[in-house]
Amino acid sequence: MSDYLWDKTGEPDAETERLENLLGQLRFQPTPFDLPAEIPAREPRPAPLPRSVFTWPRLALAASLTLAMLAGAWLMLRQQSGATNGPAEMAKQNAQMNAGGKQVSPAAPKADGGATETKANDEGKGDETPAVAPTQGDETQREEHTAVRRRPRLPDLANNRPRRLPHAAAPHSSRGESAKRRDNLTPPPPEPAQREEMARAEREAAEKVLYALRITSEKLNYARQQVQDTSRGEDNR
Amino acid sequence: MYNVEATGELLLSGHTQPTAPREAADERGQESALVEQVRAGDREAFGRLYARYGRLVHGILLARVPYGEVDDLVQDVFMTALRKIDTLRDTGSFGPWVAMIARNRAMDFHRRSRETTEVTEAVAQTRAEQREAVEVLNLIRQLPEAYREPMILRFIEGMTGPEIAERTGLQPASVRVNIHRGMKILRERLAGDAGKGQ
Repeated sequence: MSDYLWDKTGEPDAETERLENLLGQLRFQPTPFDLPAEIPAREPRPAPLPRSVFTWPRLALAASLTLAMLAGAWLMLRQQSGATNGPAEMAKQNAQMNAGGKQVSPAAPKADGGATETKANDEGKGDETPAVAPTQGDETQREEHTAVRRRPRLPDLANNRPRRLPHAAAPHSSRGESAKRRDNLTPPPPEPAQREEMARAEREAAEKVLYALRITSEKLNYARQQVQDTSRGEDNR
Repeated sequence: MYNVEATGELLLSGHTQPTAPREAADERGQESALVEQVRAGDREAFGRLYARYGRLVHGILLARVPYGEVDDLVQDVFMTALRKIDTLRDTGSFGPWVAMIARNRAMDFHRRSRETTEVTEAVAQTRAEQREAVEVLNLIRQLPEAYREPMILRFIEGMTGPEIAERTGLQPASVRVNIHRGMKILRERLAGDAGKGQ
């Protein structure tokens, strides 16, 4: 292949030469360049910000530090709010619950207390009037619910979380019938002795789990040791 | 199949004849010195840059805008280059930089959407002996974009392949392939036109 087309060396191709001659008429004819008397000055560009200050790694570091600080602050606030709802607060809440949520407790019915609570809930309905006029269906439903919920609720002592007050403690005149029915079905809070017992049971369960974990860990260590001894013995051979 | 073989052959032959690196380095050094002189306010140095890169800018514009508009646009491009020469970071790359300015200027020209009338006028204004050349130029301008610039720089501006590669900053192998492929297509189209004429 002739290289004339590439670098004008070698034998020229007839058609290439003809095209060169023909198209050469359109070649650039350098005319004197009309430089203006004054070369227009470039618009002054604003000084760029120093790169050393705004580099990506620095920005990323600053962002992560800010995030860490925010997360720390949030955690502290959360812990503080948890601390305010400590045992004293819980005891107060429990006392409130004991005073306000027992009208349907089948385990410990109180003659007088039930009447006052019902009054508080139903805003002045008669002493013997229940929160909701009991129909036969409601009665059976209530029995089912109490049967299901008879299992006492475990107080969240481990997390020290405040317990929600039952709705009955905060009476609202505008609440619907179903809400009232739900309130009446709220199980009674456990007695202090019962709570202590449950806490003890929780502690025992936690100890058992820890003991089991310890045993598992020991077993794993023993197994690892055995494997190491075996491999060492094979290497010595 | 044919194209692949041809490309391989062309690339290999390109490797056997590399452009002299020392010459290229000298050119870059001269170019860099000229740019520095222009920045220092030397008007003659800019005249030398104009003489050196005028053909390149002319060819790039010819590939994109009507023939009658090119001379004015060349002046525009060099004026822009003069105004912005302080923004050129690598002073040894004046060629690729001014080529980019020329391409952008051609795009600006098309944004004004005057092409249709201008082409007609340009053809009408050309002399009779130039008419055939303008027709062939129009055929070249119908080639795929990658082939247009090297073909015009080679046939109209009379530059060699290595020169085109050096001035535009393109790879010599790419320029070589584009010139050969463009020439092949142009031959076919010229033969087709001749067949229609008969």
